[in-house]
Amino acid sequence: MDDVELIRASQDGDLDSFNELVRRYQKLAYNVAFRMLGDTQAAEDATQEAFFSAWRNIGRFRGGSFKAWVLQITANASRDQLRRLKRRPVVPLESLPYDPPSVSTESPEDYAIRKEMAEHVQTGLTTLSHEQRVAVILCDIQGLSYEEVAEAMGCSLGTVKSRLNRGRTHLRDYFVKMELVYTESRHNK
Amino acid sequence: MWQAFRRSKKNECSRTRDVLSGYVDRRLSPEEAARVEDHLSTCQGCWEELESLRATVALLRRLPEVTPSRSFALAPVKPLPGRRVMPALRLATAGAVLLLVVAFTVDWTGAFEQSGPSDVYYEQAAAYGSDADYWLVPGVRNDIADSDNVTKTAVSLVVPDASDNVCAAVDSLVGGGVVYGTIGPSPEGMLQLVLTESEEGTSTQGNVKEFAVVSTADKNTSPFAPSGPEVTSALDDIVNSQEGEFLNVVPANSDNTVLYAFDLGDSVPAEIRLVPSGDSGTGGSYAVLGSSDEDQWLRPVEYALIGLVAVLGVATVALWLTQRRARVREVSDNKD
Repeated sequence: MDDVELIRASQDGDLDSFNELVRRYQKLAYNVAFRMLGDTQAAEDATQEAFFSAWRNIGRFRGGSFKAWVLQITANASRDQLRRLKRRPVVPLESLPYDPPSVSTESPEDYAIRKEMAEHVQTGLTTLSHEQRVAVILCDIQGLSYEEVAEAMGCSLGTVKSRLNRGRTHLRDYFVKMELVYTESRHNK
Repeated sequence: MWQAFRRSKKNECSRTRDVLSGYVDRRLSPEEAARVEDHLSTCQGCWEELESLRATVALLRRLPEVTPSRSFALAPVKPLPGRRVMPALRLATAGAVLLLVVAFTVDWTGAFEQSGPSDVYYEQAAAYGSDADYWLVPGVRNDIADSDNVTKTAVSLVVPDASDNVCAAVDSLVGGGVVYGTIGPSPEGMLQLVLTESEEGTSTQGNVKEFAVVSTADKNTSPFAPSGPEVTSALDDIVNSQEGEFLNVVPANSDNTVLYAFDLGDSVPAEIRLVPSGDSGTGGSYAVLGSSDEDQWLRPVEYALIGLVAVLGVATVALWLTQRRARVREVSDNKD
């Protein structure tokens, strides 16, 4: 069954079909939520909330990319989750644990370096505005096309480009400061 | 001229940097891309900018994919058992409790009980006429417990002796005394009571009974005491001394009113034929009073309501417990 059939069945109230869609997109949605929030528990909550919301509103889905639609809902759910966390912080964002899956072939040193780097990148992401963060996560981390990002963010291609440009520039400055990225001239200053 | 050149180069740098991100993704038009490349070949700063942006994007792309620890598939929501019944059940319980409270209040405050003679009954009496040989007296069921707590069922007649026009037997005994009477069937098949002043004056047919007439003033005086009416005894004793058909004579709440009671077993006639017989005049109008006994219907209603509240209450609690268990189960299912 393709997405269109599953969506139609879901709109008729078939939860099994909807859950099939959930299974297809949950990893993507969870990754977006995790990059938005930087915390596994918060990301799980946001993802679950996003799929709840998608099920409630499946009747309003009027075609187009289901993936973009789900990601839009996920981004919104993540923003809501972030607001909740800010109102009632459980764990400070800086100290959130991050544990990327270990690859057996790399040495403990490499693993430690990679882990530290990933933590810095994650922290850098949290310094972006919501719109820039969504654009960067969808495009650079999840590898979505500009068109898909535009659909997920409900904006024009031009807006996607400018958000990406500003987000990447901002991140680049942060990475340079954290010495994750070097530029000759800046390095020589 | 040098300044103009520098300004134009600065403009070119700013323009290039605005689209560098798109250039990294190869999302520029061929013309735009050519102009960027043209500029990059001559501008070290913009070249470094491009390289750092590429490094940034590469860093982002290297971020590992994370795997959620659970599935986000939705569990079908099981409707709580009895979800529709619950509000109705609660409403019914509340309604029954409210009715019960009203019934208790009515019972305790005696709102429906008539405590004394009322105008209504005087009017009723007038309808019986003054020249009749007998009067039909409304009977009111009256249950009285004796000292052994045995309830005797009776019909009470409330007869005022406020004036000389009240039947002779009663009239002559104002202030206390004994009236004799015969209880038996009337020609119409009704219960008939013939009252006389003396035992000799009563009919020999049927059972001659003694009826005491007690006014409020001497309600503690027993007319049946061996030493005469002066001997003080509690009204309860009068009640307790009664046996068989003869039940009681108790004072009503004014000294002008006496109340006769007859043990009638289970049969409670609506009216009793009252025939005055004696030496004194029997003419004149006769006022009949009855004590309203409307609270009689209240007891069965109260019991029914108590039963209803109990049943509804148990049902509500049982349903609530079932729902709670279902909810707990659902929460633990979701946790799993």
